[in-house]
Amino acid sequence: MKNKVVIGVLAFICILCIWGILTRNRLVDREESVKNQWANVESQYQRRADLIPNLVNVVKGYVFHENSTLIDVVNARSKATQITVNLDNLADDELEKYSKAQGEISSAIGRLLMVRENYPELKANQNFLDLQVQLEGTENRIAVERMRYNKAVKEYNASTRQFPALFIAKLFDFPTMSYFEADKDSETAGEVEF
Amino acid sequence: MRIISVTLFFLFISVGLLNAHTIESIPNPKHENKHTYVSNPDGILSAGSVSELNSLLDELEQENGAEVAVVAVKTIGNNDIKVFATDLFEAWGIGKAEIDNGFLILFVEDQRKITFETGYGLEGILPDAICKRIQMDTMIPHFKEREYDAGILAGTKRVVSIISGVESVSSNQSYGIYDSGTADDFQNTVTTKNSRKSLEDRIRELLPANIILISIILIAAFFFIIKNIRKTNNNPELSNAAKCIVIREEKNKILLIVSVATFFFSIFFAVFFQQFAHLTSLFLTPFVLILPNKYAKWKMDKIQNTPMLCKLCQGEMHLLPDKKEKKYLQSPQIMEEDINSVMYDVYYCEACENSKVYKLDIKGKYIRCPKCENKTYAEVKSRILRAATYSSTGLRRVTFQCKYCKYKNSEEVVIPRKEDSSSSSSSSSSGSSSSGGSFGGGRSGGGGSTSSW
Repeated sequence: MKNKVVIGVLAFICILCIWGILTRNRLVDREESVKNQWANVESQYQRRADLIPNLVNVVKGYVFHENSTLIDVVNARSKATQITVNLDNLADDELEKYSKAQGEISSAIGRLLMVRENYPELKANQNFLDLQVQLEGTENRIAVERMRYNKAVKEYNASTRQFPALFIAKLFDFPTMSYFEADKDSETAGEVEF
Repeated sequence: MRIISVTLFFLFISVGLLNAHTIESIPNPKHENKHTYVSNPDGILSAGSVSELNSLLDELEQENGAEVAVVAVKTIGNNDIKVFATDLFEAWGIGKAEIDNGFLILFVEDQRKITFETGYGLEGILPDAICKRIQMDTMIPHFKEREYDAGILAGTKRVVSIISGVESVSSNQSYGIYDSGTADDFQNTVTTKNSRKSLEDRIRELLPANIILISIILIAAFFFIIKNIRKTNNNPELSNAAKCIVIREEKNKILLIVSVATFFFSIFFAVFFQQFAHLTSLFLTPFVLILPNKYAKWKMDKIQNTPMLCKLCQGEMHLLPDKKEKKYLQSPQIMEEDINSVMYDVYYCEACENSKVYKLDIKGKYIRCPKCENKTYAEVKSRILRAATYSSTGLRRVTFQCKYCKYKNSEEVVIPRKEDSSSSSSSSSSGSSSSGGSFGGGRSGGGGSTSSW
C-alpha cells in the first residue's frame, strides 16, 4: 500500500515538472515573438524617418515661403529619434510617448505634403510623386506591423494570465507587455490622395 | 406606393451587400488546380484573358518560383482595399515560405481601385514607386475606358517581366534609395516564428507533447498491469502455474486496449490541432509498450516457479510434472486435460506427502456434459435442414456428444432470416479528386501601392 502512494506522488511530481518546463518554454517563445515583432515595427518607423530628408530636399527646391512647415517636419523627426523603447524594462507609458512622437511626425508630413496644392510644379515633380507613394506605402507597412505586434502581445499576455500558467509566469517574473494604442492624431495624418 | 419603393430600395441594398466578397468567399485559385493563379468569381475577366494570365503566371512560377495571384471582384463591401489585400495575401500565403516571393494584384470594380501587395521578398525589385508607376502607366488608362481585361493583362505582364528579370528597373527612375536596400534588411529582421515551418521544426515542437502522451501511456499501462498481477496473485483458488496463464491473458488485453486508446487519441489530436506530427506518437507506442510487457513476463516467471504453501505442515509444495501428476487425477480429469478444456495442476508436499489439485477453466469449444458433468461435451455435427431466405427463417440440426460418457443429443436451432445487405451500405461520397494544392505560405508586410480611376 505504501509503495503505491510513493509511486503515485513521484509520478505526480514528475508530471508537474515536465509541465512546468514546457509552460516556461512556451512563455519564453511568445515573449520573444513580441520582441521580434517590435523590432519590425521600429524598422518601419525608421524607414519613414529615412525618407524624410529626401522629402525635405525635394520640397526645398520649390518652396520658399513654407519654411515653417519644413522646420516642423525636421523637428518632429529629431524629437522622435530621441525616444527609445526598451521592451525588457518597459515603463508605464513609454510606448504611449513613443506612439505620440511618431504620430506628430505623421501629421507634420501630412501638412508638408498638402503644400503641393500651392505649387503646381512641385505637384508634377516625379521625385515628389515617388516620395508620396513611398510615404503612403511606409505608413501602410507601419500599420501592418503594429497590428501584428498587438497580436503577438495579445497571445503573450493571454498566456501569462491564463490559469494555471500564471503561476509559472509569476514565478519566473514574466512581465505584462503593453499594446500599441492608436493615437487620436494618427487617424487623419499621412493620408495621400491623388 | 412609397412602401413598395422603400422596400425595393432596401432589397437592392441588401442584395448588393450580400454579394460583397469576404476573404473567405473569394475562391483560392490554387485549390482547384496547381497551375491556376487567377480568381475571377464575378466574371469580370474573359475566359481568354484568364487562360492567358494563368499560362503567363505558371511559366513564371516554373521559372523562378515566384507566385503571383490575380483577383478581380465586383465589390468587397465597405472594406478598405489595401487592408483587404494584406489580409487576403496572409490568408492564402502567397509566395514560397522561406523567401516570401509572393505578389497579389487585386481589382475591385465598385471602388474603382487597383492595388498591389508585395511579399517581403519582392520589396526590393518591386518597390512602392515602381508598383505605382506600373499601375498609372499601363493599367489606369485602360480602366478609364472600362477595358478591364486589357488593363489587368498589361499590368500583370509588366510585373512578370520585372520579376523574371527581363526588364530591369534602374534606380534613377525612382527615389528608391531605401527601397532597394530593404529587401536584404527584411530577410534578416523578418524571420518571424509565424512563418510556415519545415516538417522537422514541427516535429521538434511537438516533441514535448508527445513525451507527455507517451509517459501517460506508460504509467497507465504499468498501473493496470500491476494492479491485475496483484489481484491474480492473491487469488487462493488458482495454482501458481494457472496464475501465469491468467496474467498473460489479462496483460494482452490491457496492452491491446492501451494501444487502441493511443491510436484514437493521436488521431484526435492530429485532427483537432491540425498537426500531423502528432501521429509520431503512434509509431513510438509499440516500443514504449515493450517495457510493461517485459515486466509482466518477469513477474510471471517468478510466480510460476514459486512453490505453494502446504496447509498441513507449513512446508513447500512443488508442482508435479505431467507424467507424475496423472497419478492424482481421475480419468475424466485426465481426459479434460488431454482435450485442453481444463488445466489441472497438482502440487505435492514432500514432507507430509500432502497433495492438492488446482484447476483452471480454459475457454474453448467444450462445455459441461449434462449427463456426466465433465467438461467434455461439444458439437460434433451440424446439418442444414432448411436454408434461410429473405422472407423466412431456416432450421439446422446440431448434434452434441460427450467424449467421456458418449452421451449424444441433437436439437434443432433456428437460422435467422437473411438480410438485404445492400440497404445497409451507405452511399459513398463523391469526393472532389482535386489535383490542386495551395500557395507556398509566403508573407507580406503591407507593401505595394493603390491607384484609382
